[in-house]
Amino acid sequence: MLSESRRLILAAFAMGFSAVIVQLVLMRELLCAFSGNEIMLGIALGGWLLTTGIGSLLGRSANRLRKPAIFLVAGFALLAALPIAQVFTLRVVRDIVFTRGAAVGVGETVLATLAILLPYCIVSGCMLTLTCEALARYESRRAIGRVYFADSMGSIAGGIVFCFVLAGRLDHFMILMIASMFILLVGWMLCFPSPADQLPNQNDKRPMVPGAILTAMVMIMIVVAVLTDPDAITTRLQYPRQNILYRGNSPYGRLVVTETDAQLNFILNGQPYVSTGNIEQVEETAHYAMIQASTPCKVLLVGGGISGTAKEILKYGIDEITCVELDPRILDVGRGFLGGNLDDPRIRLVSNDGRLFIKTTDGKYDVVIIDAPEPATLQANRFYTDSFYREVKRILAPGGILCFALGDYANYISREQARMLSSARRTLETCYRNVLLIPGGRIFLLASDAPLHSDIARRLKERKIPVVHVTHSYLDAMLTPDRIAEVQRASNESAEINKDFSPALYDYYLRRWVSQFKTQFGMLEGILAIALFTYLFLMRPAPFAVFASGFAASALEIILLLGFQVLYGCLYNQIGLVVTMFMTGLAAGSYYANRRLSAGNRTLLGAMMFVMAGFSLALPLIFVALHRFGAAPESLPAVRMTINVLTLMLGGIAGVIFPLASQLQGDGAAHVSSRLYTADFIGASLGALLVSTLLIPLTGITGACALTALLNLAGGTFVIFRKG
Amino acid sequence: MVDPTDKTRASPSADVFAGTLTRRSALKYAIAGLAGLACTGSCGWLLLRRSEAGIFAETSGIFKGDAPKDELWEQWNKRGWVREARHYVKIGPAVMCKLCPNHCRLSPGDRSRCRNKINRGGTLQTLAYANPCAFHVDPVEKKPLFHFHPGTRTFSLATAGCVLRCLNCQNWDISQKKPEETKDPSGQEYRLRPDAPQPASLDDIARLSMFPEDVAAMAQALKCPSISYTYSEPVAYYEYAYDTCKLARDNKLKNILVTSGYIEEVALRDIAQYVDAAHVDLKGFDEQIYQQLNSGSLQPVLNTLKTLKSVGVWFEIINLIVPTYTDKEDVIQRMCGWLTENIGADVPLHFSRFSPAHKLTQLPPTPVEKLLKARSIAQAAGLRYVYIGNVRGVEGAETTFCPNCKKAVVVRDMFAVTAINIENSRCAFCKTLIAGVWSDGNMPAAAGPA
Repeated sequence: MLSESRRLILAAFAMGFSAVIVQLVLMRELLCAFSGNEIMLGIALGGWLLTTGIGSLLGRSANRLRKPAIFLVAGFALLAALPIAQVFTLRVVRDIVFTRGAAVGVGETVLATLAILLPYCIVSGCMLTLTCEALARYESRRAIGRVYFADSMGSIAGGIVFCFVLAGRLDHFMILMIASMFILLVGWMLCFPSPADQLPNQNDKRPMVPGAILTAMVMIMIVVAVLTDPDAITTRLQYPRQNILYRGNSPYGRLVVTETDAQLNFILNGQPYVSTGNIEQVEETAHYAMIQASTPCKVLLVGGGISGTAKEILKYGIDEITCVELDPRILDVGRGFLGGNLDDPRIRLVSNDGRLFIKTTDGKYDVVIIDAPEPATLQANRFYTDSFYREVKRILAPGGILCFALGDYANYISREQARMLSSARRTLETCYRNVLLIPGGRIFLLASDAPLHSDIARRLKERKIPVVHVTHSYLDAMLTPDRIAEVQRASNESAEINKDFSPALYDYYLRRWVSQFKTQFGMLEGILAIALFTYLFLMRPAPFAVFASGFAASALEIILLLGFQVLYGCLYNQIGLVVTMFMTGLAAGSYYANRRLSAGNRTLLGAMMFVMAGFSLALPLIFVALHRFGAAPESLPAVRMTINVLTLMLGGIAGVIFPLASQLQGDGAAHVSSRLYTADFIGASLGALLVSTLLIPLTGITGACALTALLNLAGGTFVIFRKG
Repeated sequence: MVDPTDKTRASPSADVFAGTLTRRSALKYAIAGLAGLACTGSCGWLLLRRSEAGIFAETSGIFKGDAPKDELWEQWNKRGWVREARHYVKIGPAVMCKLCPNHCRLSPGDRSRCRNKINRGGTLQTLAYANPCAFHVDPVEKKPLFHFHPGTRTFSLATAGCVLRCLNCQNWDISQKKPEETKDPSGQEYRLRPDAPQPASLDDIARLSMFPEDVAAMAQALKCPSISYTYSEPVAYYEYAYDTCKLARDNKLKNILVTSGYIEEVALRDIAQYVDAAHVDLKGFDEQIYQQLNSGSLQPVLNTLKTLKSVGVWFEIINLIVPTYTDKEDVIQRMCGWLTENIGADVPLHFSRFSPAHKLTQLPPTPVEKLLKARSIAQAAGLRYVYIGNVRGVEGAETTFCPNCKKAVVVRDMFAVTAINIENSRCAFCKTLIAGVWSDGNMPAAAGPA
């Protein structure tokens, strides 16, 4: 049997393992329930870290507990049961509190997210501090560092298992059950005293019988709950009056296929992705671009292949159309339900990241159609930047055409929308001679070095292309001089060029999206800001150092992930690798600091903070260099490698800082660890929130990195020059 | 490497929190406690406000203290973009708007729910006058009006603001905005008239004025026999629409209201004397869903339909079928039954296909099957002219069939009219009267909802 301290380390590992799986599942569920943009992602991540931070703060009184073991076991039972209950609640309650089918405003999303995350995160934050305290009774001051290390290792293992084993195979409830079973086993183990150990605290009686009964009961409850197939029940509740034909998970998200009156709907992460019978979408996407080229032979369609656009494009007698879709699950399920849209030898299906495909393909295409989601996320914004348009140009045959849609135009173009159109147009004009805007059902943008034609109806007639939707009368009604003049006026507004690392279009999009909702949360924001400033103001050097490094770790990791997606692609296993690299760095750093570095070294901690600052300052420069020299397809492996190494380094620096800071302070493990964990989580949550929703859109990555560097410089100076 | 002080540090007895409470930590606790209380309080207050507004529907009351401040007000006033509102009562310094069923009660400095009206010094003023933010020449079929001078063009305009809050509004960029967010009163005055230079930039559009006489002149210059008050909601810019209607009538132009019908009867009767046709959006037939999706209510709209019928304005009805909300067949059946009974079998009914817009983005588009079913239900209920809009490739979706001989009397493709077989308001084949206002200009005496 394991010794007591080993078992506590295992407990920390299990907590890290479960936390990362629960976090990934809950984040995906929140994205489905609310909206799939970066604001939601930032809120979810920020909320997670903040509530865990509050939890670890609450755990500070753990050192007064006379029987921490009982609390540990009870806490483990909660950690196992809560996530399943929370996902169930989220799915069921979402449409009771909010209007089904409708997006929810930012303020309400924040409140709802906090409410949903709170139970698990509070308990898990508490438990971290509690484990530190329990371990400290055996291991003294290195306890915090060791728990931190074990927790990180658990997160790595959880992340890997989730990405590569669970996400593509099981539904969210089954995944949570697996994490819960592991947690319960460890909790069960903690119930029994280890004969090898002399208990330092005589009051610490093992909760053998009640603990064993509790864990067994929770285990049975979970098994019973999961056997009733809560995924099926809740999915039916989420989509009432729709027949559920398919529900499944892929590493990229949750796919549900429903049927409503003979219409099939593919719902991806809670948002309708493709519906059958949507002739308007299919014909507009296909014809505006296709009719421009005189004799198109090869066509590339990024996204939306299963919707029937590919089939429509075949009307032009082309040789081959390549459909690129990121998520292989969509292609598989699409083939099953909508085989008719894809069954032609000329249609080639590729499961790959669109941008990576364009970067690496040797083919030359006459027409490239990008049917990507709107630039609501940094991920999607990659398909609207100047560098991307240059990459497309590389694979276009001479006079080839690029086409995509951006927003719709009913009767009025607001200034916000005008800036979006203008930004897109100006960005296209950086590398194409001609740009044409077509105000159809959506606004289509065409770009080419060859002349572009707006007399689409006449050309369709000449080519004798059979159409149902984009008929002469439709085009007459939509492409009136009046409407064309309006989009022209709009696209002449002043706006910035959209760049990968300074995403102006994404900024404009988010602002317009937010403007749909009332934002009268001035008071709440004010209170939070005051609370935060008070917290920062009263902070001592060591927690402040951890706060700054937590901020840097999450901010820079987001930036590295963005960089990876821009420079390489969004392939899930690769992204998973980057995240794993970070956690590995973190674990290695903290291991090294625990074992090798002398305790209480103030100067060393300060120096590490300066290293972090230097790292964040160097990051934009490295990205510029990678962007410039890594454009060629041959250098992609090197780019991938560089970003992985950078991420490993970031994790390493952050990993060293935490144990160093923990050794600097000494008030008793629970107190110190709670303070440091709280600082770490609050820093990380701020970093995640600010960087993705404010700093990158407003100042680009340079500004975001500069602010991070400043914070860490301040932290380092504070640590070195102020006692306390 | 073991520090001799380790034990004391790690032991629980060294806890500073066990005994003493320093001033610093007391202060810290006090601040944290206050912040916590305030956070909980404001969260609770926010939730409470939501539940007050209805069953968590996206409703909102008036905008407290949101009227433009002096400087902006002066600029607005100087442009002539302000008028005293019609149909309101004074209650001391407060006012209550009696135009639509929202009945906003505004203290000085408040803004109405439609965003266009403010209480300035005890009078109700509208900020939506002569400042349209959108105007186009549209086919009358786009409104959609199918039985009113088919094939003609109509000069269409709108200001910001709306009395409802539809989650799927296609025009939310204007309907859910304040006039100040769409218009700019600074700089030189620019009145858009036929002889003036046309707007070249969005700035021009934001600055320009179009007074009622300018609207009439523009419509005539652009060879539009009618003016449509549309896109957002004419009830929200009632005063502007009213004055323009009156002037247009004098200039032999027709007036078309494209409206949600969310208006009080007195106000409706007042403007209806100058209106020639209306297109009313009946968004469903279920009070609760009306509140949930539109933050309005059904009864006033039904009342509007009855009023329009009684005053003899030609009107058509559109019904958007929102999947899983307003697509219940028994409800559609009840709606059609009510229409046949109360309005008459001659009122044209347009079923329209939903596609995700504004906030209602997590629902799939309406299946064509469902629209076809709705059409059969309406026809079975006795309605003579039933159409399906926003759908392509459905046979006869937008064709008018003679109720007697079942032949196609008006054939449309998108917004274009490709064939009219109507002579003197009668079917060219069997001489049955076809309800509507056809281009000979005479309202058929026997038929029509009037």
